[in-house]
Amino acid sequence: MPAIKATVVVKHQHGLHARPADLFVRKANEFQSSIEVGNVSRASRRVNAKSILGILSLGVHSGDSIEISADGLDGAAAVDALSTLVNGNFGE
Amino acid sequence: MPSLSGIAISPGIAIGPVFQFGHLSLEYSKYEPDDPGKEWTRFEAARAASGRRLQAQYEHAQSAFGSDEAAIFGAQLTILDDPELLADVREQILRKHKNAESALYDVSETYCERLEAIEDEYIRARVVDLRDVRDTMLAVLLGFEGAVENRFAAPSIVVSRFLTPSDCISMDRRMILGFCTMDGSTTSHVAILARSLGLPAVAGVDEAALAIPGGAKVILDGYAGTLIDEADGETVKKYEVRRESKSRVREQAKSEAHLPAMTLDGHQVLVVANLGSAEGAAVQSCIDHGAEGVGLLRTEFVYLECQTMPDEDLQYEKYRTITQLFGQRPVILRTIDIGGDKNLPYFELPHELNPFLGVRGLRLSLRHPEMFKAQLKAALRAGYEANLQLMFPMVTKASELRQALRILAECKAELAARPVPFAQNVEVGIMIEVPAAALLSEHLAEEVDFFSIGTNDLSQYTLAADRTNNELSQLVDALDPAVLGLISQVIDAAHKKGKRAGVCGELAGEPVAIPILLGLGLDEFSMNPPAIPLAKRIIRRLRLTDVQGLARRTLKFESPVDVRAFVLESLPGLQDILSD
Repeated sequence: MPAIKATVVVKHQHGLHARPADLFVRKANEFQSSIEVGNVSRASRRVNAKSILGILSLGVHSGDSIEISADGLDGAAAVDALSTLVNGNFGE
Repeated sequence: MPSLSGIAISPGIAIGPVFQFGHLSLEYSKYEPDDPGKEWTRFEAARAASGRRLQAQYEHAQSAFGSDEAAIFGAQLTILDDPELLADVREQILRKHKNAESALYDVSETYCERLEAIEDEYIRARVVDLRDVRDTMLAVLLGFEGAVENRFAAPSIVVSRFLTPSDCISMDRRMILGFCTMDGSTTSHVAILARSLGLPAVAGVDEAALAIPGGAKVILDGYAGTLIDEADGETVKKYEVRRESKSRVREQAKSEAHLPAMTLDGHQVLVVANLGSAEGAAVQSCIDHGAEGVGLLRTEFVYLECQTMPDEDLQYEKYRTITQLFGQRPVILRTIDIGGDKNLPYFELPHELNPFLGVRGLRLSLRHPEMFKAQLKAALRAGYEANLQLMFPMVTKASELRQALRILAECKAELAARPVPFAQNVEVGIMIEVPAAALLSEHLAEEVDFFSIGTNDLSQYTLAADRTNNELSQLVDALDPAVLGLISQVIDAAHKKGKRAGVCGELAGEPVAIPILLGLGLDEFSMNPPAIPLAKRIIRRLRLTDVQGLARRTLKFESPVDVRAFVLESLPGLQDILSD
């Protein structure tokens, strides 16, 4: 099964730090698939979306684009849920 | 007499012996284990033991220091289980054949370096957490039973390069006189702990402090941000006098806190508390500090404690607890003030380019009438046979206020139809935070029973300077004559229509501001409970006729610096009360 991918822009004022980072990691942990994230705007390495240290180390600031990719049975749902979280500005 | 300067992060003065706080020497050797698989098992066992240790610290912090402290250990437990960290350590052990200690150290250091490259206050705190977790695990791997024994012989000033959350909670608080660290900032962990314990703390001090021998007598000045070593007798005496007079003034003020806030010439004002909780301890603290009621009940706590929008009944329970505890003393309930820098997780707010100038306060409530009505009804019911008053935040125009009053009337009609008991004739006021509202306050005064001036927001809007921007902190000063001019205008407008005027911003509890506000005719001072005894003490030593002329003159100055200097010069007695 090919990995599912989506690119979204993080608009939250804290980027993917603080509360948004916690929410993102918590959401990612709800899925079985292995999920990776890269910071497209900073040409970073890809990290495990279920790791708070990984996500923080991406240094995603407000306005950066991130690519979310998931590999597994619930991959599509995972990418969808995480994109919705980011696009919905983390419920704020 | 060397004096080392740093940043003052918690006020107070401590004089006493130095205690050089030791950290475990976590030196480990690097070797290739015979069986990498067994080495990984050893690591996993250490991780499980560390988890139990953190859990115990979490529980200890919860009971000894409260939930803010405990939350730090919750965050550390998450790091302990981080999948990426674990995968990297596993790789280092199984493939690179490193021993557990060096694999852990190398991996966590790589993360720390990556995170340190990011300029962000929150991330810096996570770096501290990560190193703290690493050290906990290293200590377990190396076979240390607990933390290093830091045995205090006497109450001391703790000196250390850094202090981790675990260091802080491991110390016996009765043995601490103050903190002095090389690392840290005003928002650091040590700063928060020191302020909650009421102890002085200074951060960012030169490493020379580490060379001061343990037991040497030093002075820690949490006002100026200095550590003075080898002080001569005269200096020690001077600081002792200052420390004593500070604590004496506080003690005396507290013992008189229950007396009315009446000036020497018989003019009485109300001194009330800002409150943001329904917990018994918070309410008791208002009463213990001599609050004559609540001048600002921030209701956001009710919303923040919930996972979903709280309904009318749940809100009623919380508000009722508070109104019952205050009996016939006034409680001014401010309706929800989110937006700006305050958000709710379950309530979707549109992304705004400029949230402080966006849909916040009453603007938001008027756009969500169901949410607004649930709160108003809960408040009206909680006000039954109590002295509850309603207040709307962020009012700009009279039309908004009239719209809110119409909704309030609807709520009353709906409650009457149910029927349930509620406060029929509740007094209604507004916060004055927007310059437009201050300038047109005479019109607004016709529609309300009182004004309460929110000086923090009024200052940032008047001076066009974001109060959360550190670069501009000098500019946002409520004692700016431009802000004082608006305050004066609002008080006069209220009185002209026979209404009351109060201040519920930080300015109300600021000693230098009290004579000015009193002189401008302010009726009500609302502040954080610990500031009340001193505020009352100041009011009780002033004469209204003296401060009236003084207050009018401050409006003519050009800067807040001039205002402060003038007040302190005109009222030398105030200087003694502050004794700085």
